[in-house]
Amino acid sequence: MTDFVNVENLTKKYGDLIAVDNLSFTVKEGEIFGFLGPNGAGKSTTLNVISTLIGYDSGNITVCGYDMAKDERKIKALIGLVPQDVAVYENMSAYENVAFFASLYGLSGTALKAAANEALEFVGLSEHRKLRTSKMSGGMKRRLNIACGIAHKPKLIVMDEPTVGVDAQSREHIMSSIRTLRSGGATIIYTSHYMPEVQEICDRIAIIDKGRLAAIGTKEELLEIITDVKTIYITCEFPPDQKESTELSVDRVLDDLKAVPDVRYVSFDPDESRFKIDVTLGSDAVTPLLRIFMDAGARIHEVQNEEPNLETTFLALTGRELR
Amino acid sequence: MFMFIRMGFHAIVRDKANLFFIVLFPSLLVFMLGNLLAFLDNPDEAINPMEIRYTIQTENVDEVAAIDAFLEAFSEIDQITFVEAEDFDAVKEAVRSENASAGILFTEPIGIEIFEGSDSIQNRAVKLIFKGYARQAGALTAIAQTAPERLPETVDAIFSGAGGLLADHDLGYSRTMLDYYAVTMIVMIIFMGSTTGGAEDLFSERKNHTLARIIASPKNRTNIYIQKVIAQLPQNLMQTAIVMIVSIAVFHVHYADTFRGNLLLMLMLILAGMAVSALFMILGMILKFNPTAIIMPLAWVILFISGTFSKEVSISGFTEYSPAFLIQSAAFDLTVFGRDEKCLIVIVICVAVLILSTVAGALLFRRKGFAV
Repeated sequence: MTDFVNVENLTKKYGDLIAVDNLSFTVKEGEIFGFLGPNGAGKSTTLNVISTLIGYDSGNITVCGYDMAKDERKIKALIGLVPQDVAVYENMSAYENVAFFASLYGLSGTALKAAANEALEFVGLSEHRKLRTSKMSGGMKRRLNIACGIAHKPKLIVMDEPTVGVDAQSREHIMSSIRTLRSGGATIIYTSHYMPEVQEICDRIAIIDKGRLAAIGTKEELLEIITDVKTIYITCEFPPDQKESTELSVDRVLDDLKAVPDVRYVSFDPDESRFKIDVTLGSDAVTPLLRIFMDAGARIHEVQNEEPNLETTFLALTGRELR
Repeated sequence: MFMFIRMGFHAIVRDKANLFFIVLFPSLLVFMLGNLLAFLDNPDEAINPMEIRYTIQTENVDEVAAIDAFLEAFSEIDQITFVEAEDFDAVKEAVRSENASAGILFTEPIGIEIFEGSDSIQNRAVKLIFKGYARQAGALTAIAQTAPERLPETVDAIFSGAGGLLADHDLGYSRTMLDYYAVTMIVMIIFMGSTTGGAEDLFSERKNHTLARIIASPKNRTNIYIQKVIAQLPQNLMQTAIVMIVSIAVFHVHYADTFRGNLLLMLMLILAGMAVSALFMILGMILKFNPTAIIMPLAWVILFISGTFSKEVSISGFTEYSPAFLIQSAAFDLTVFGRDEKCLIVIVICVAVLILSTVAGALLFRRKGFAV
């Protein structure tokens, strides 16, 4: 895949505040590129720069080979913007909204009608094309928001949290629509506070913090960057008829667990009677661990296997949770 | 090209608040003020029918003929009846007992004695009638002494019937209070609507996040801004047209005498509204908060000291140069006196302000980062 968006050493300042600091990344053609960062990380500023809404202080940006400094209008024509806030006119119908925004991209006449109808069909609002936006539900407005951004068939779609505040059904519809857009050849830059969405839909992900790139890669690559450890939780109890006390049993189990080669770290939570065991990712340590518990006479109630995820990766990289 | 205008029209007719302030409120204002002001044209007190009794003492044939001719002129006025009586004591008794409004004695040598009744309004009317007679007589005497050769034609003119020496021409000065207030009402509505409409346009687009989407499009920003200014037209057109049509149709308000004059008046008011809108659109871009909060009081103050609500409230050196005053003054010149010079000047100024404001606004609008 060729690079569709290329951002090199982008810097954007607001007075003394450096919102984006020497940021570089590429978005490949036809991919869904996740853009993550805690609040104030410079994520929206970067997206606004790419969407041509705000200027920048230094750096180079190219979209589809066009230099933003020279060919801004050509870049604008390639981009479809789906802002975080629903950006539609409340006193206009679904069709009128889509047609209005599509007309800003030079569409007119039958081409405009066809594009507007197709966009409404795409987001599942064709039956409500005449419905005034003010009478729509939150989910319908979100879908209309997407239709307004894609009616002119942009090559690059910038989606800033398109599923905020929608019900499960609308969310699923939106996610499915995004996949369809990608399979139709569009390149998508996608941000969300909802990590499972990003994990599910994005081909590659960039995490930025304090205006700088913290990490970039596929989901698997990001996970490898941060950790090669998975966590196993074992909840158990030691029967009262044992020869030694529970405390002694726990201490003995902890020692035995530490002796297992792939075990990195062990701890015990007496309130929940649960052992936390960090083992090397990819090792098959579960069987020897269970044998230690059985040898100690413990009754195992539950075994939980927690794979490393983006949430923990994000936390490790930024020191903050995404929400 | 017309998409922003169409959107502006939709914003008016589909939004209940806009519909109220732009369509219903002006109509209500016309209706309320029309009904209230209609009573101002009625006199405080009416002159009831009068019976004036008179006695002629003089036996001079010419003088009697002059008196008869003068009184004959009142035969067409139903409200005033002249009744001749032989006995003037009986006349005075009739006045005293309120059977007659006044008694008039034409004396020898020529003179007029008025015996007033108890109705002060009628007494004033009687005095005015005979003051007119006395002055006419005085004028004739003066002509007889200075230019006797012109006396016959003057006498002919006096006794030729109709208005005599008076010729009554309508110079278009006869206006009702509503005619004046209709003009001030339009100016007021235009100012209120255009200031808030202009300032809130881009502010609400920014607040609703639609401006970012518009600016992200490849459309030229100057082009977008010009279209946004032009999109103020439906509001200004509708406000002006509604007030004019409702006031003419319902209250028979009299604007200009000619179709051209009315067209010119409408053009001036719409252009004034457009200029004000364009000016306040700039304010809407600069302010970070809802501009109505400062625009409404500002507009009221400007209108208040511009003589819109009362000519008594004015500030010398300011009022006469305030936009609302100048527009009203031009409108009165056009509607009352049929003079269009001031109106044309205002039109030129409004076009200049509109162009300059649009250029300045477009330059501001081109700034990056404005929409977010």
